[in-house]
Amino acid sequence: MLRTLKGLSCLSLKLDHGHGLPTAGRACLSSVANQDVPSLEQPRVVFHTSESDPAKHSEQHEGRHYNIALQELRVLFPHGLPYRFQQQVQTFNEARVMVRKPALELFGYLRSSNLAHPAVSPRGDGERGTGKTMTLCHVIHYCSRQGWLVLHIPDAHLWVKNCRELLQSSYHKDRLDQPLQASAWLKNFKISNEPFLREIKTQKRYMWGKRESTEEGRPLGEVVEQGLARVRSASDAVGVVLKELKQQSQRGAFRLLVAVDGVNALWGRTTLRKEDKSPVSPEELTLVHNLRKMVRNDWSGGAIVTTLSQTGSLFKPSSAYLPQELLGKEGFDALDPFVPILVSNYSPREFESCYGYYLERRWLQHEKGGAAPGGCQDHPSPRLWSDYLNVPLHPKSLYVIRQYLHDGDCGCLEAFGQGESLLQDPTCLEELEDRLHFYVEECDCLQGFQVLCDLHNGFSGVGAKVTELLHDEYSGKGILSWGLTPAMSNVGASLNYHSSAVLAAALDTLTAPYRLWSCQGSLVHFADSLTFCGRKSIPVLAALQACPGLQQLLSGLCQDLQARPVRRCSSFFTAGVEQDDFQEALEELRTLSQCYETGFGADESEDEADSD
Amino acid sequence: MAAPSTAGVAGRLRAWVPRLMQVRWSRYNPSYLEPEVNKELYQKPLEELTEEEREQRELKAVRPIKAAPPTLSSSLFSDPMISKFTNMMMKGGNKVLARSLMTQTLETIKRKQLEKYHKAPENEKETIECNPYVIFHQALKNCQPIIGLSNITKGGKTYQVPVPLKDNRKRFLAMKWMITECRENKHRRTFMPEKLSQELLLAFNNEGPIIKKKHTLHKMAEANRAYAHFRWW
Repeated sequence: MLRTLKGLSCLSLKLDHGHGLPTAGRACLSSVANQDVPSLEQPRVVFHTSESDPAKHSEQHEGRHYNIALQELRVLFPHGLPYRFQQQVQTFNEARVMVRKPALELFGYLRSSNLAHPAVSPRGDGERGTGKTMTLCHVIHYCSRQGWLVLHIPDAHLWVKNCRELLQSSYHKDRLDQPLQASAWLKNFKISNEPFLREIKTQKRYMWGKRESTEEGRPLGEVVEQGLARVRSASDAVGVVLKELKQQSQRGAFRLLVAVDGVNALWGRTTLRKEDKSPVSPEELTLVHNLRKMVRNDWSGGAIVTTLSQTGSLFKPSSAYLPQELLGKEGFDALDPFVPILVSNYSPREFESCYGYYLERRWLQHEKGGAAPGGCQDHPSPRLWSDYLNVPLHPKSLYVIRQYLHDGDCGCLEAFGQGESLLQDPTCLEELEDRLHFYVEECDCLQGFQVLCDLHNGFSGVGAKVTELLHDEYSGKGILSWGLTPAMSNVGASLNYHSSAVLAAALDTLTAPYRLWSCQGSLVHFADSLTFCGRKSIPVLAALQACPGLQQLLSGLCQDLQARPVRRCSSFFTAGVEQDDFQEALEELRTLSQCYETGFGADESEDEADSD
Repeated sequence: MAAPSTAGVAGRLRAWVPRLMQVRWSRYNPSYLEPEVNKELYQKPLEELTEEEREQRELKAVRPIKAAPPTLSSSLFSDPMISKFTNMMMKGGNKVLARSLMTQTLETIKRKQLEKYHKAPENEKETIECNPYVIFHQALKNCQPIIGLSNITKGGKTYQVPVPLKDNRKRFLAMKWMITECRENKHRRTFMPEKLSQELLLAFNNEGPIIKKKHTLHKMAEANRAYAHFRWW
């Protein structure tokens, strides 16, 4: 529920002129009033998805990050995540993986694979740093959620280099054991597949050395324990585990996923040497020999997902990334029936998503680092209303008032009188008229003028004087003036201009009849329809705001107007308003405020229309 | 040092040699102008330039400009303090290594602070500073001594006289202490980024051995207050 409301507030707060839907605006504001939704939540909607089950990921989630709970991460990936990603998880205190096309493609294959047929073997290729390991991890998460048994070899290159101890294998004379690597792998395998190890039973009796043995029908966990306890026989334990899993998955008791990262290590060269300094080739290593049997496509009931990797590979140039270059002929033939999956660099959309995620997690700390090329959600805090303006303004249409400051302790344009006196200054008047004439001459047929001004500061005086000026110069044309007051406090301070965004939307809707080309109405007709008692000015006050504040606003304004009629409305009276009309309007205002008090009539009301 | 008269016009520049050999000097003729790296200045339209800027522009049309050194950068992310620190860390001219150590240090600081930030409860989040540049500058500022000691020999004895320090000297001392502390007084197998980030974070909070060193220097200066009149500059 919270999510949908957040989505609603996100949508309606965009400045969509011409889609002024007061109902949506009202719903938006009431939801904002009810739950303090901070504006920082908005980017999450675009870059994140709350769908944490990989099985439900589809094209709509592409480019978005999904969350893996930290406990799940520890169980699923005791090894296998790239180092940088582990650091990121540590720093951000959460694990977010991006959903990308290669992973979605793989899910498609895995879903459609038939158990009776030989194992599907997709293989991820791509250049360095494109995300092959992360794609593999995403697939592993998917499979483990689906209940598959995951055999994850994080980096096959670790088995063919930097081995301190090489023992001669007791099982086969020519082969060599690697106790440390094997026991490390067994430990991690145990963490990620505990429940399976209890259920799967061995099919035959295994002898470890002269005295120890594992009987038939014992859980596979015992074999793993044996390998961990007696490190000498760890490699053989690994071999046994692999063999058992391969045989039993064919029977269909469970589905097996063999995920090997850097599979090109299995066919190539090693940097290991025997005691007589002769080089060791990969097939002489027990671990590699057994793994080669697993990766071969002669069993069914599961899938083999592998990636090729140049980083960490031995005796391969750094520019090599194609399968033939990395695997060599022998490897390529051994892995022969396979499905290639290309993993490429981030597309612009994925880049934006990642960028947004980093911004949101405050990873990009430099103040100049926040300026995204494609436009980011996190704008610097706007100071002026024109920061929100999508319309490009012509420089000739702007006139900057230099005599007063925009904000500060003193020197601001605050009083009605100040605004009036500003326009009595001849240079100011001249400049204003210049600009006005420029645009008036451009028009084919001038309908009228629309004056929008603030009521709470000196711009009210400016607005009043400007209206007078326009009335004098262009007496035949209609003039619609709108007075604007600041929003009440229940809309939070950070959403300063959001209420005005809603107002702007409403204004656009109301003024649509005379603005659109297709409609025949003109501004004068519109003004006439509002001023139903002839050429009089009728201050009909309201604002599009949440209900609680409206009553106070209206009653307050009512009292204010009654208390000081002359000072505020001096220009109204000079323009020809009569006292009793004004009193009538005040009465209407009072009844309107009472309406809101009693709670009925909660539809939006007109903005102040002061038309001559 | 009066510079010898030069032919100012670009075509007739002779190789300039000063009358007196200086210790730190440049082979450039004094008429050469410094390169202007600030991009924003060039993007300003002609009307907005002040008088001096207009003069500078006109001067550039006639005067030659010095070659820009490789350390001068127009990047938004370049910081003179950080460049100075990197140069001080550099050994044997290996700027690549020094710079990578510097970036790794900044990254480590950021990671440590972000980890703290993301694990902290909501009300404490504002108090945690995550920007490594801010932390770096503030830490070095905290390490700067205000007053230093100078050896003055009077009547056969050498006294430690408290003397005010110039800004450059303060900055230099802060950076020097930071680097020597990290090089010498830490376990030999820890990496420099790790050591530096730790020290910078401590100095940011006004703790740690470098702040202590600064305080001892201040105390010594305070204790030797009596000799202050020995200073004649």
